Amino acid sequence: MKFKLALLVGKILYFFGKFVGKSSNLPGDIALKICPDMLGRFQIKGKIIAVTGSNGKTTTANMVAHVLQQCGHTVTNNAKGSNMTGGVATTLLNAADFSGVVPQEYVVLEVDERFSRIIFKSFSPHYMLVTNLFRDQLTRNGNVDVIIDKLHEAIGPEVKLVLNANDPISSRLALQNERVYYGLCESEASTKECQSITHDAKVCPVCFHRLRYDYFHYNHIGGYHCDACGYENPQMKYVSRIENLSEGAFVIDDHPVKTGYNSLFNILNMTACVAVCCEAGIPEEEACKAVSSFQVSKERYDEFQVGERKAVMILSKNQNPVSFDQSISQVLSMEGEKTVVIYVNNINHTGHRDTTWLYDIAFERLKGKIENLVCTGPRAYDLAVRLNMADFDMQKVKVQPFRSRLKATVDETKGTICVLTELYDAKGILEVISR
Amino acid sequence: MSEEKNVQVLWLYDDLLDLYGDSGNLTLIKKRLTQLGYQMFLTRASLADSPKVSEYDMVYIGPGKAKNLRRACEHILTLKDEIVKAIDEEKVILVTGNARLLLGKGYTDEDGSFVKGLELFPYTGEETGKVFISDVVANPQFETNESLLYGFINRTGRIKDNVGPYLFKIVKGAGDEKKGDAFEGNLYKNLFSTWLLGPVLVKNPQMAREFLGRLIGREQIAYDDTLETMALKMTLKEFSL
Repeated sequence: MKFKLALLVGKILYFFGKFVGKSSNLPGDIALKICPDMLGRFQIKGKIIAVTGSNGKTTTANMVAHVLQQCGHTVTNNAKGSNMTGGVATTLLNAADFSGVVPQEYVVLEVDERFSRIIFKSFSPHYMLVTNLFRDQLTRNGNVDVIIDKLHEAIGPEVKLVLNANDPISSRLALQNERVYYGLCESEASTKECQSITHDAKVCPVCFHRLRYDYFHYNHIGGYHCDACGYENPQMKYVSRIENLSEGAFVIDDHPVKTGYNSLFNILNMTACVAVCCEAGIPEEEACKAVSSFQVSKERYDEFQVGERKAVMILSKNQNPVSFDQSISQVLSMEGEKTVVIYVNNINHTGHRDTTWLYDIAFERLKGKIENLVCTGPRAYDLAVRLNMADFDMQKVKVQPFRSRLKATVDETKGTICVLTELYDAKGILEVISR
Repeated sequence: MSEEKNVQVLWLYDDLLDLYGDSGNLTLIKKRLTQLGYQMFLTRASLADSPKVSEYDMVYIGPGKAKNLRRACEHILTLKDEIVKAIDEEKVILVTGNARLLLGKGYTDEDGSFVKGLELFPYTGEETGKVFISDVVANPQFETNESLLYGFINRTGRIKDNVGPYLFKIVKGAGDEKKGDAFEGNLYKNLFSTWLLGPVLVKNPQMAREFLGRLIGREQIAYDDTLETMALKMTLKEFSL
């Protein structure tokens, strides 16, 4: 009875919520208050695919849904990245009929790695795809080992895992579970030395001795082996090889794939997507064709004009250095003169003044590649100190902690304006700069 | 210190104990030493190595994940004689975050087992598995004036019965064990040990000067740290003190 009531209330809230922009989490949150074990009471007819990991899970989950739909299947998914308990409940109650039956052939759920154990308490996915695991918001999440413990609570014995063979951390999740690996071979864009400061797999996950890398794709993702115990990348079932990186052309097991976003990070996510779709019954050739038509959403990237100047906004996740490293890569891939504007706030959910995470971002890569760098926000001076430590030419670094004077400071600089900030601070800064 | 103005730095367990922001302190040391005409040589050592710790001018150990800390703790006991020698010979040492658990009598791990430490200090530690964070404003104990310093704690461990000698007097925030503790850290000879993690030397120019002064001689310390001073001032302004 409770379930039926929760479902009805949830559906009504979803219907009205759409008009006030509160339809992605709220209906599920309220429905869960009425029926706390609601998630386990849906009758899901199709295959359930969960997508989690530190970075790239929203895009990859959307990609999986796209491929399944392109291949002619019915799919329901939490497309807006509403990946906590309320978001998952909202997705399912919206997809279900009034008796709680979810009829689609596939249910694709992006799940927050910390909330996965709560979401999958009363039901279990058939497949779980993990993109990668990195240090991420250490003030909230704790370190990677803490995340692994939480994921282990979420992975039931029947779940088939689809894992990244290039990641020594996530590839060792739930070793007793059935699993397949995907990965990307060394490419022209891979490096022999780690280009980042954030490197979460310096030691072997088996014996804790120093892990040796044959190549890096990005951060700790690459080819590795341990001299002490012989541990190395697991055998890949789905293997990507770059054919022509500048054209975004690569193959997955000899099937051609194309992408407009040619970073190794994205190519690995595309490989992950094909791997999980194949495991869930899609022929590989069809999956490769379908994934090639996926457009990466520009939610974290926006172009606009500031007077005569071109400006771009590149968002990264809060206190997530790998995400910020990706933003830097994006700046470096742009042509012409550039000025980078970086907004650094206090820790967003607690207000602490810590800026330690700035020392995990490889700002060094921007040295000599940009015209000016403007530091702004409450912790602007801390960022300037960080850049000084990186031996930036401080004549080119401008510090303007105050938002009200930011526009004037930016006007003194040259080239395309690249605003790098966290999701939370984007709106405020956009209002000032584009005024 | 050799006459060629070389400084030998040992980063112990750089691979195991690498929680976040840890390279910042060494970046600062290298930048300032280079400015002052010194050349810094960095050696990394971990489980497979048995470095002659006392032969280095400076040693750094940062915080790490609980599982890794345990491996480091088992290994560091094999270096005990060398570490004691380095401290006695007044080598400059910086230990941050939960690496402090290595220096006491030992600590109780999350599974309840006791991991034996170096016994350099009579305190004991505990790994709780629960994330605890705190801003900290403190007076350094190496200065006679009342300068203020800012740092950040993000830990799952804590220390009980630290009896000093202390590094900081707490003005705001948590100490070794909990909020409201009066003191934190240890300064014994030239061993600096604190829960304030990440680039604590970068954030606090007066601490960097003290540390470098002990490393190469106070009379050598002449560089511009206006920017760091300004950043610290802006941070401290946000606290009602």
